Parts: sequence; C-alpha cells; structure tokens
Amino acid sequence: MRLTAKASQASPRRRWSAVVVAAVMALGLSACGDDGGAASQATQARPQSVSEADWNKVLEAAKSEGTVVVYASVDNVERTFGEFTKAYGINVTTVRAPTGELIPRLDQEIEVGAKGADVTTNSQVLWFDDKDKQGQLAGLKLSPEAVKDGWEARLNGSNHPLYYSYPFSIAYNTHTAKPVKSVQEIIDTAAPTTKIGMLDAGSPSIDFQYQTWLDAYGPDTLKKLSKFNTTVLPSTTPLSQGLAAGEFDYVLGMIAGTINALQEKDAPVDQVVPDANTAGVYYPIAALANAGHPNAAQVFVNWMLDPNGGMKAMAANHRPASVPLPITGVPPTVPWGAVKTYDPKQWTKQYTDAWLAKEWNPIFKK
Amino acid sequence: MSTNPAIVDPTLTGPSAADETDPSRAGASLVGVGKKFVSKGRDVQAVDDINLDVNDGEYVVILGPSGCGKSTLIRCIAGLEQPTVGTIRLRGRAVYDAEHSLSVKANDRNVGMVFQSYALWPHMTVAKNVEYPLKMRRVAKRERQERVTEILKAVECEALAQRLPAELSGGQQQRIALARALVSEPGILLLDEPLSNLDALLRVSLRTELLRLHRTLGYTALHITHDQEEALEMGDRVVLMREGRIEQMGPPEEVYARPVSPYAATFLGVRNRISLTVGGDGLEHPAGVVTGTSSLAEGYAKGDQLEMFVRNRDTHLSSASSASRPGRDDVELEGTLAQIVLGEGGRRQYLLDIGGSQWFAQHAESDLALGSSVKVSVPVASVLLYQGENLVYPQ
Amino acid sequence: MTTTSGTHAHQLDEDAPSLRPTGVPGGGLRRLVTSYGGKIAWYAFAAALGFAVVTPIVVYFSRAFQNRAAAIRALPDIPGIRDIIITTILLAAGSTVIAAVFAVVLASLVLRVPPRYRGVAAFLPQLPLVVPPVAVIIGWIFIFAPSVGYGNTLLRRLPSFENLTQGPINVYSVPAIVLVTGVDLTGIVFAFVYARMHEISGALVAAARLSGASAFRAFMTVTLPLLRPSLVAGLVVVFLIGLGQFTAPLLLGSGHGIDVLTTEIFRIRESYPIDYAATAALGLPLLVIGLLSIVIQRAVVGDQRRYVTQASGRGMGARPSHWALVAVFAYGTITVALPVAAITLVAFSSFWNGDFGAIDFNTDQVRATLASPAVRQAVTSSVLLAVIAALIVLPLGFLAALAMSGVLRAPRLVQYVLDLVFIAPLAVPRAMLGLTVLYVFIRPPFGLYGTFALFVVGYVFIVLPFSLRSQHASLVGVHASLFEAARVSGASQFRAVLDIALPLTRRGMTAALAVMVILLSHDFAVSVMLRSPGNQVMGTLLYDFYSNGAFPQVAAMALIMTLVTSVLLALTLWIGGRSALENL
Repeated sequence: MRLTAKASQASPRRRWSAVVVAAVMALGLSACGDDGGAASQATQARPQSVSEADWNKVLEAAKSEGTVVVYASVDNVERTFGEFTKAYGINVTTVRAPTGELIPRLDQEIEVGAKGADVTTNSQVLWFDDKDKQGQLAGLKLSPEAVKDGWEARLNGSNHPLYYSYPFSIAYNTHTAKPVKSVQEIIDTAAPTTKIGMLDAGSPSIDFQYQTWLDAYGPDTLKKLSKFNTTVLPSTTPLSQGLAAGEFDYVLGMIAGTINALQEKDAPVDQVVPDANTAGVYYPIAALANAGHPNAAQVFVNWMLDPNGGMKAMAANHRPASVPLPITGVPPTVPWGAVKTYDPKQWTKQYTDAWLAKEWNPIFKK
Repeated sequence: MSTNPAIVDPTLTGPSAADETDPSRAGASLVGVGKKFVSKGRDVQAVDDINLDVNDGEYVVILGPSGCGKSTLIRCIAGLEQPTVGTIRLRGRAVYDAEHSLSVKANDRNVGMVFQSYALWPHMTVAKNVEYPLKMRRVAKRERQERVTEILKAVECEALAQRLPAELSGGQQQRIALARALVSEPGILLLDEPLSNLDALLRVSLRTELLRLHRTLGYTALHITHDQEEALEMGDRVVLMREGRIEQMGPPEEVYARPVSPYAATFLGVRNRISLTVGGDGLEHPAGVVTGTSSLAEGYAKGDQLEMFVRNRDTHLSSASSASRPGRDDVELEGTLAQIVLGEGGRRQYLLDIGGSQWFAQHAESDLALGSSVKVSVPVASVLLYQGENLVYPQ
Repeated sequence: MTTTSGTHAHQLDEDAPSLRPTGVPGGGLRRLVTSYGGKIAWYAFAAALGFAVVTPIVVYFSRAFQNRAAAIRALPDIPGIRDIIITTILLAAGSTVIAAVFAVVLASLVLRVPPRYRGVAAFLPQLPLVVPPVAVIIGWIFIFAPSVGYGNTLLRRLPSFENLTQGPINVYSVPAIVLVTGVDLTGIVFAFVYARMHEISGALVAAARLSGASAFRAFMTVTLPLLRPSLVAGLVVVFLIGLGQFTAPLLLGSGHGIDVLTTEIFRIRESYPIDYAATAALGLPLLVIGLLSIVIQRAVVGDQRRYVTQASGRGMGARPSHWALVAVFAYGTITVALPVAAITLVAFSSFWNGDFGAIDFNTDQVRATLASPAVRQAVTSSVLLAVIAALIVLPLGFLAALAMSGVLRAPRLVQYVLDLVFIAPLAVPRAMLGLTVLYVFIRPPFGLYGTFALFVVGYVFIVLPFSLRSQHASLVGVHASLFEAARVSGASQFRAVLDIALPLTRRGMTAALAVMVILLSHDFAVSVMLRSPGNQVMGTLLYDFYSNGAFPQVAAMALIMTLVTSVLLALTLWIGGRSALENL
C-alpha cells in the first residue's frame, strides 16, 4: 500500500507539463481580466456651493452616518483628525500608508466599486487630477463658510483643493549645532566632522529640493555636502530619531510634524525653514465618488478647508506648515506659495531615473 | 468470480465449491502466482509460478536469501502487493484472481501479519495496539477487552498492557506484534522475518515461544526467514525459494537430508564442498584421490564433473598415517590442518585445506598438529553428490 | 550511502498491469468510481489548489508581458538595474550562507548539550524569529549607531578604541545588513537541519570515527552529505525569503548603494501613474530565480532514498559538553536579548537618547500603547487571522504530505503539481504578494474587498509553503510497515490515515504551526495591501508607528508583538507536546 517513491526517474515532461497547464489557464484568465485602468469613464463632477439649509441637511446626514474613513499619507494625523471628532462627534477611521501604497489600493477600490475610502489626502497631485477627470471624485459641496473663505474661486471647477503643504526643513540638534539660514551656510561654516543626515533621493519631491539647491548654490553642492560626516537614510524616522539621540548634528530634508513631536518630549531638537530655495510637498484632499459615507466625507473635507477647523489643526501639529488661509492662534506658517514643488509632468519616472543617475548616484551610491 | 451461488457446505470439496470461507479447506492455496515488474528497463520476475497449498493448522516456513522473492510472496498474500498472474485463495475464498481481475483489499482478507520491525504504533499503548484489529472489525468493547486480555496472557505480556511500545524490549515488542496479529483469529498468520531483528539468544527463546503458541492455539502460519536453523526447527514444512521460484519443498527432515541442488545444500548449511571428476577408480580432485568412492562413481563417464557436499559434523579427522576407521564405510580425502577454532557450543572446529578448498571438520583425533597432513573421513551415507543442479546421491 | 530502511524497497505497483479492487459486484459506473475515484479526487484537489494559488501569481506577472512585453524590454533602462539585481542576489546569497553556517554550527552544538537542557537549547536558535525584524534592526541601531549607539559608546571606553569619535562598529553598513538578515534566517535553516542531524549523529558517524576519521572529517564526509537534502531544502526556502527581504536594506542600507529590487518596486509606486507592468517586470527576475532555485534543489537532492538512515541507533554520542550550552546561550543572548534589551530601554524613554545618563525614563509610551484601542484591535486581528489561516493551511498540507510521502497513492503528476503549488507563493517577493492577492481576489467571482476573508486568503498564501515540509518530513519518517499493519488489521485507507498518519504527524504539524504563527503575527508587506479600514494587524501598526516617527512608540509596539508571538508560540508548543521543541 505504501509506496516508496521511485528515484528521480522523474519524467521531466510531466513535471513541466503541470507548470505549462497552470500557466496557460492563468494567462487565459488574464486575457479576460482588465489592467487596472479606468473603470467607468464617467464625467467630472462639479463642485457646488450649498445653501445654509442644504448644508444643515448634509450635516444631519453626516452625523447619522457617524463615521468617515480617511486614507491619508500624512504622518501623525491621529491627533489632528481627532479634532474633527471633537467638533462634530463623527468618528474618523484613518488608514495611514505611504502614498506609494495608498494609490494602488485606492485604484483597486475604485475599479471594483468597493466602499473603502471616503476621503483621501496624499501627495500625488496627478492622481487627483486624473481621478477627477474620470469622475471618480465626488463633487465637492462647499458650505457657506467655505464659500465665504473664497474656496469657489480656488477650486476653479475641480474637486480636489490643495489645503496644506510643508517645506523640507533643516533640523538640528540643539546641543551640538546652531540654527542656519541655508545649506550653503552649513557648507561654508560647519566643521568637516559635522554629522549630517540626509534623506535619500528617490521620490521626486526630495529630488526636486536637491535640484533646487544645485540650481541656487552651484552644481557642486551635493558633492560638498557628501564630504562631511554624512549618512544617507531612506526615511525620516531614523533621521529624526538619530538627530534627537545625537547621532546627527544636522538633518536635511526633514518633513513636517516630526520635530514638533520630539520637542514635546523635550528632545534637544529644532528646525529651520530657509527663506529661499525651499521645496516641499503639497497635499490635495478630496471625497471619493463612491464613498460609503458621502455626507460625512463632505463635512470632513470642508472642515479641513476651514481656517478654524482642520487647517488650523494641521498648521498647529504639522510644522513647518504652509496653508492657503491665514490662521490665528498658532505659530507662524510659511506663506502660501513660498514652498516650491516639482512639476509632476516634468518629473516622470524616466526623468527622475535620469536625474538620479546623473546627480545623485555617482556621489552617494558608490 | 465463481458462478456458483454462495452456499457454505462443508461436504463439498471440489474446486467449484463455494468461495465462502470454509474451515475444512486449505488455509491458503496459491496457484501459478507470479509477479513481474520492470526495473531500469529490464523485466524482473520477483515471484515465478508459485504453487503452494498450506493446510489448515500447518506451519510452513519459506526459506531463502534476500531477494529470493519470499517477502514479495507473503506481501502478495496479505494484499500489500499485487501479483501479475495466478490465484490466491485463503480458506477457500478467492482473494486474488488475475483472470477475473479480482483482488480483495488488504483490510478485507482476514490475515494476521507480524512484521520484521514489529510495526507497533508508537502513539498507542500495548492494549490499544492489540485491540485495533478487533476495533476495525467492530467487535463490541467488552468483548474486545476480554480477547485482548486473553491473547496478552497467551503471550505472557499481560502486565505490559498500559505501556508504550518505546518502553518495551525487542522480545516484548515481538510478542505484542504477535498478539495483535492473532487477536482477531485470522485465517492465516503471516510472519515476515519476525526474529531477524533480535539478538541470537532472544531469537532462540522466541522460537520456542512461537512453537509453543502454535501448539496451543493451532493457527495456520506462513513464516519467512533466511535462517536455515530457524526454518528447520519451526516448520511442519519447509519451502526453499530461489530467485522467485520454489527450489524445494518438504518436511524439514527430508529437506535437510536431501537438499535437491547445490544451492539448496549451501543454503541449508552444508559447508564443505569440493569439485570432483570421475576417474578410473572413483572420484578425483585436482590434488588427489577420494578413496572409497568407487561405488559412487559407477554409472558415470570418465571425466564427468560432480560436486560433493559434506556437513561439518560428518567430517572426521585423523592423522595421515592412521588406518581407516574400522567397520565404517567411509569416503576419505587428504588435506592439511590449517587452524583450530572454537565453534558453536564451545566445540572445536578444525579448519583444513583440501587442495585449495577450505573444509570444516567437527571431529578429530587428539594431538593433531597444525600444518600436518590429515586424513578426512566422511561416512558415505552422509555424502551429497550433485551433477550440475541435480542431486545424484543419495537418490 | 545506500542504506535502505526497513525490509525491502517495494516496487511501484503502477508499473505492473494494475489491478484495481473490483470486489464490488455490478455497475460499471460504481466500478469506475471505485477504480478511479481515488485518482479523480486527487486530480481535483491538485487542480483546485493549483488554480487558486498559481493563477493569481500568473495573472499578476502576465502584466509584465503586455504590449509585447514592453515592461520587460524597458527593464534595462532602469538606472543601475544590473547592480540592483546583483545586490539583491548577493544579499540573499550572503545572508543564506551565514544562516547555513550558523545553523549547522548551532545544530552541532545543541547536539552536544547535555540531554537535560537539550529541549531548551534546541529552541534558542529559533528564538530570534519571535522578535519582529523591524524591532530587531531598530534594537541594533540603538546599540551600534556609529556615534551614539550604546554599544559603541561602551566600546569606546576600551583602550584600543579610545581615540575614535565614531564606531568602532557601524550598523549602517553592508556587513551589518548581511549579518542581520542572516541571523534572522538562521532560525529557519536550523529548524530544517537540527532534526535531521539528530537522526544522523548515531551509528553512522560512529562508524566513520572508528574507521579513523577525525571528528571534522567524519562531519564533512558523513554528516554533511547526509544532511544535504534537509540543508538544501532549508537553504532554498531561506534564499527565497532573502530575495524578497527589504527590511534591513530599507532601514540600514540606502546610503551605501544597497538597493534591492523590492526597494526599487517601492520607488516605482512613488510616481504616477503607477507602472504596474514595471513592478511585475521587476518582480519577474525574482520569480524566475525563485523557480530556478526550486528546480536546482530538486536536482541536487535527487533520490531521497539515498538519505534514508536507519532509525537513530545509539552511536558515538558526543561527550556532552557544558560549553556547548554556554555557546548556544551566548548566541541567544547576543541575537535576541541584546536587541530586545535595547528596545525595552527605548520603550521606556521619551525619545531615543544616546546620552545614557540623561535618559528620562517613564512608562508613558508603554501605557499609552497598551491602552490604545487600535493596538488591542490589531492584536486581536493578528491572532485570529493567524489561527484561521493556519487551520486552513494545515489540513491542506497534511493531504499534500500524504500524497507526496507515498502514504496515499497519488498520481505522479499530482505530486508534481502539489510540490509546485506549495512552494510557488514563496517565489513571489512578499512585497508583491499582497498586491497579487488584492488584484485577483477583489474582482468577480470573488469580490472579497474589505472582508476578513481577503486577509485570510492573503495569509494563506504566505504560510502555504510552510505547511507541507515538516508534515512531509514527519510522514516520511514513519515506516511503511506501520500503515501496512493497520491495513492488514482491517483498517480502510481512511482509517489508517486517521488512526496512524494523523497522530504521527503531530510533531510536523506543530512545527509548521509554530512557523506560521511567527510569520503571520509579524507580517506587514501583505497586510498593508489587504487590510480594510479600521482593521489593522500588528505588523501594519508597527510600521505606522515607525513612519510616524517615534522610536519609543515603535519600541513599545515591538515589545507587545514579541510578547504576543511568544505566547502564541508557547501555546502551540504546549499543544504539540514538549518534544516538538526539539523538532521545530
């Protein structure tokens, strides 16, 4: 009954035929399948300004929905979004993931019509443009307050307003380093043994920052920076944590929110935003057309556009912040528009790859 | 399948009788059983044209070296392997019939089997091991327990009931394996080299055990082994196998006294052999003459080749100059005493050299010096003579 | 080495003109079913499983072939792609080699530990698996960050290092990355190797020694060759895992040109529109290498019969040595206790403070983490998912093991398919596995988006490869005669499997379950793709904490994860029996 398997008198043909059969079946299936492209070619929704009465209806509906699901790539948003719950009594379920993870998920959800995200905010501006054109973003309903704040004009027919941006800051360890006005100052004045941490190039936003410096301070800038006691790390966490620990004196390419959090814990860190040649990241926000909680979504977006609501919370918790409207009661924000950012049409993957090959890899990827 | 309806009538004895189990019929009946398979592109006949009837209550021992097919045969009977031709009947019931594409599953054949490695299930206690066949046959719990206790008593292992196999010695394991095989009172008990894994002393004592049990319980048994002593001691009948075929079959005494071929002789422990040529006066070997063989050489042409086989215990040594043993009809050769070793039972074995062949003798005159010439005497009645594959003396 | 087990090598009945049991009278159909029913069931099983597992993988990777393989043709244009591929392979290879050496050395050591402590000693090399990799790496960062790492600070007190301002050990370096990854994988190779060495180290080695071989030569000429199938199998698995590894390179490596394929895949997702075909194309080399490794393994291992040894047999039991115990404990301490201690330190600080004396200790972070509902929900989800996925996968593995060990007769083709199916998910880089599952299973006819079931599917994919091996090993180690005895005693095939095979596979099942529990409770790469809003698992939560930028939070979560995994592991072992410790 029990068989002792014969040796590798294996008939290779049989073995490979199994693989081939499986492959053929699956390829057949894939022929039927679609490639995550546009689902339904609906038309772009139109934003609308809503009357007080209608807005109240939206508010009512939102409250009975009771929850809003937000997909965000911004760090540390729990506290900020918590303010929304405090204000409206509506729970916020946050799905936080880096933009690169978020986009595929959103695309899949849209394609399948799944009710996942109600609202999303991430830094991929082009994605918002595309989805809007395809009618995948909900038509934004502007509350009377929002209209008063001038959002109609700013929207300009789109449904994904920019509500927040941050510039890359230069962070420094307050025990071992002093604030500087620019990277040039570091290059000029810092000792050769100064420990510098730099955010690894790769994503267009930071690449653009580095290119901006090259344009402003000369083509040798990156090379000069590499001559210090420089370490390149792939994300901000080890950089900021390292800064607090004393592993670094300066960190270039620090993103918003991290240093504040450390400061609250009395870590010896601080940051400066140079006046000029500063690049950063812009964030649109939008409600999705097939949101499961459409009214809560609208309320949330409006809250984020409110200089006394979400925008204020962002300005307070995610510093250095740059927001389109003046905010009171928080430390000064960077003037809107002062933060440069990359043109996504220019910085395609090919362009970015070429830039890396020319400017970054020869210096830092030996 | 038989065309007759299934009527159990013990008076019917013909082959067309019912194929229901009939206790009066042979315990096992094999007709033309053979198994062929292809290995590395060649045909191998593992078992070839086996015809064997095991009578009810008989203890048959199949003897043969590794690879002779005895294991395959017994596994075919158990249903663990399939023959390619032939029929097998157990207690009159056909369990395998090549022509009619009949093969009863192993778990329906009602055989008991004792494996060489005991095959006790390590995660079950002794009691659970032994009760398993009864459980499979849906015997009620109370009765199961009774029968288990009974059989454990019979093999004198009652106290071990709650132990795990890992805690048992080899001999105990074998007894438990036996108990498990017997507990369901199978039509036939198959034993696959049951004693081979035991050390010599245990082997001997367990042999006695098995004999005793067989006498008491009276089951039909088919026992395979490569140990000729075991075969001769235990069997009612001995079947010697060679390369898939039956070489010789018969009661132990007969097989022992008259091995039917040189192969059989060698296997049955006849160690001394020498090639002889028929000469003028009798038989000769390259280094000399074998006296006393004139009668043996009768009827052969000069130059014919014969093989002589002699047992150790029939071999006597005396000094070269001594006279032939009086009153004995001996065959005599000359050789040189090479060595004296201590053999079985503390008895001396004498190693001698006869024209290049090495012989063992068990009996010797005293004071034989190593290296001296000796006279080797063998009673002519104890000689085995072969021409080719055939036994020519004794007839 | 041609010792064969048991009695004889029984020939395959398939070669003889087969006779099927047709004692069933009447009905051609009934006859057909009993004759071929078994075969049909096997084909159905293999086909269903094959389809379910292989199809999504093929579907996803077929994207690379669209537009006449545009993405593949574009591969060479990626800057540094050649270096990236080489780095990926080298990193995997390097860490595999380290894992192999460590595992074999550790196994040898454990065998020399006095029997009393052997259970514990056998477990120690696998202990590192219990701590989430992210946590381990962070722990090492705390210890060996060049300027302020605690370890470096201490080392610089020594006279030979006094003059240094940094180091002497730099965790942000290639050797560190390879070493860390290697140690992480050692536990897995050890599991494959230890049980096997245990079997071998008996009479066979004794025979070699008595023939005059020194201990080393005996090891090289007897133990190692006999170890080959287990070792190669373990190394292949570990190599495949290593190919998909990105944690260490991600956390430690980008400054040294340690870019691996997976980090490149992440980069592609940064741009828009996302070139999915390109991600598939990038994953393709890994897939191919993965499949090649599997083929090579089969070829190298060859005839399994050559490696069958007689059951243990007492041999030259190496003199038990307490030093062996010390060495094994030292390994456990260095690889686990140190990083965990570092993490604990940071968990109870406000922030990672390199100035040891100035650390502000408090329990805030830990308490906040423990109280967090998100953490509780994540822990519950992780545990539930791990258990459910394991419960699904174990029986599948058991059935496949039955087929492949020969306990149940299954057509050769079925065995090959099963072999392929069970290893296939491992050939897909973990970072892509999630996307693969997502892509296929949210569409009709499945429509599993946002469901718990989707998660379960993804987790099943992760652990499927681990459910077969140890169960197969268990069954192969069961002598054929045990099943034959059951059959002859009247048991049908089904009962024989139930009464004999199943109980005797317990160890293998436990081992598989333990590995699964560990892998699943730490998973991030797949979970991040499949989770639904409000539904986190421990791995994604940990990563969230990491991106949110606070090491103490990460540290606290890591400690919780380690605790949960340890508890799960302990439960598994308790169920599976203490002896499973040795055979993990």
